[in-house]
Amino acid sequence: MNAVTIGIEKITDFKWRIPKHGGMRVDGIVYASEKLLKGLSGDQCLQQVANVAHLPGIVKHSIAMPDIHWGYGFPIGGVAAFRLEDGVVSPGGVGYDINCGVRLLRSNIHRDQAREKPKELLAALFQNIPTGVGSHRKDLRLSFDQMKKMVREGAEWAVSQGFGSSADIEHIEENGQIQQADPDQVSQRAYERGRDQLGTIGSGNHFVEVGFVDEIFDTEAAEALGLFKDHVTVIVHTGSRGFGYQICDDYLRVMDSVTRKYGIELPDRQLACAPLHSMEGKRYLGAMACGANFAFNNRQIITHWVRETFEKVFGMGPREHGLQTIYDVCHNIAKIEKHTVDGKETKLCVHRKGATRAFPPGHESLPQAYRALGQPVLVPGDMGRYSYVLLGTPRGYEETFGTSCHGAGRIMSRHQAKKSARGRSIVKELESQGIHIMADGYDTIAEEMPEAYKDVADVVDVVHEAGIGKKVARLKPFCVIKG
Amino acid sequence: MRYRVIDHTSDVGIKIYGAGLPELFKNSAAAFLNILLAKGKIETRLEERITVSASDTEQLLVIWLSELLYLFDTKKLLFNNIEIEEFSDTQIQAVARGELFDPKKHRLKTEIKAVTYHGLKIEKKGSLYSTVVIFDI
Repeated sequence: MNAVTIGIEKITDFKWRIPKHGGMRVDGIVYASEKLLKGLSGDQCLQQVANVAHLPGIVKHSIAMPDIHWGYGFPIGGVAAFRLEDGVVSPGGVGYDINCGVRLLRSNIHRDQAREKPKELLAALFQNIPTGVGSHRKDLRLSFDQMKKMVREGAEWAVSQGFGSSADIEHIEENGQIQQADPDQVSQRAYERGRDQLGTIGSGNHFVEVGFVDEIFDTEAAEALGLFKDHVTVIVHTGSRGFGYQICDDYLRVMDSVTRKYGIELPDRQLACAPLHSMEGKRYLGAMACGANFAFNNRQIITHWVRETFEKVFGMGPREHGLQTIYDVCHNIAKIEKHTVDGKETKLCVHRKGATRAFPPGHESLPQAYRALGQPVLVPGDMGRYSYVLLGTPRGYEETFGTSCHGAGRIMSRHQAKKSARGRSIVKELESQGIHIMADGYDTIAEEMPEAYKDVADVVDVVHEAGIGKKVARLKPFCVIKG
Repeated sequence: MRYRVIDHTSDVGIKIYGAGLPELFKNSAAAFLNILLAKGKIETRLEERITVSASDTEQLLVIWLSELLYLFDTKKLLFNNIEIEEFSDTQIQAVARGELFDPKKHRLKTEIKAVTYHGLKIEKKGSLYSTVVIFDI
């Protein structure tokens, strides 16, 4: 189904409407440029935006960010908010990788300093941070009871174990802890799958990327965030690993069997859900929160190892390297938040799958240092081009429940990418551009090559032009480790 | 043909075939191993009895493959031989043979997050069963 078939109308150059039709309860709203929309034809993701609009209790619109692409049930890049009284919660609206997200660190290190030892830095990162299928550090092994404590407490647990400091905590979404976490709602199987995976990056599109500030669009905002041109930055991209995947899997099965019990009609079985007020809905939220807290801990631990690596390779102490957390955001999550609906402040369950929260200046959940600025939003691109830092805006808060895009999105399948990489050395090609890559397997590098992804600049430009986010800086990669 | 890997933009899929449902399930395990393993031979060093049940055959296939994923993720087990002892539309009991993942001789290819229901529909043409299974990776 392409845009024409589904009947999409232009509101502005960057905002489109899928008018309510059939079983849709609200319109669909898609943030995209003509160019990006053209690239969507045949992808079925617009039909998915329309499908989400069928769900009970949905408020305002079924929304799509400009990096939208096809997903299970809900599209990736999809946002949907539901009233607590009669709305639903859906594991497919969060994703398998619960709280897959991104943390950005700033530093005092100039790129020229880092460029003195790229291979050493790369090798040290690769050694200190478990990357790839089946890898883990033997010095981090938790009992099941410790795991339960860890997923209840969130990133504070990691800090209490000596990973990073409390200065990191207030720079994490939700202060690194979703409070409704209920470890008893998580299956034994999820604990077993997650046990060896705390403090690991995983594989696929996860990574740790050392880069530098390439361009600044808003000098005042960049300075307030601690971002200075040509200074080194670090991005950590990972999530809840097997722990989160299993939670999603478990609850998809639960929801699939109760959707009928609650009389919910679905245009797509993969939108399986339960009412927010139901036992199943509450249990899922309690388990999902545990998954989210696992991921917050994961990124906190990896951040600590990144700092240790820099300290060792460059012989610097914390004050010298100044590697501090700017912010840490979730891409796959469902949150209970207050928003204004029809002039009234209402609690909603906001699903963001492949989408990032982007709260405006003045929001109470922001740390003091960012209250006047707005929430930082981190949008990683592919490993050959660039990533962006944005800020949330009041318009975004009003139109999209304070949400922004999350990344670039693939355009080539892994098979096509590997085919395209045959006879080429992607590692050497990137090295010639000053980018050093190390991965667990050659296949990963081929599969994750830059051409396999959309240009994230196209995505970010839509967000900026539509006024739902504000560009602050662009970062370029320098050393990347991938699973 | 037992199976083939199919192209998918963000994930990976398999099309599996079998002359009979038990063979379909056996071949799905072989396809699963193919997705997981980049290099290295699996020798027969241990065996594990697997029993799973479901409310229908399609769910059974998802649960069967999810069990193989769980056994790999938690116990590092890789199987190259499946012997089905009992099979019905809603239950399977099998002996799986293989060995533990050994980083010295095996190299892994893909991290599989989950087995999805997407596009999963067991079809029968003559005596040949087939279906697509998509893995979230």
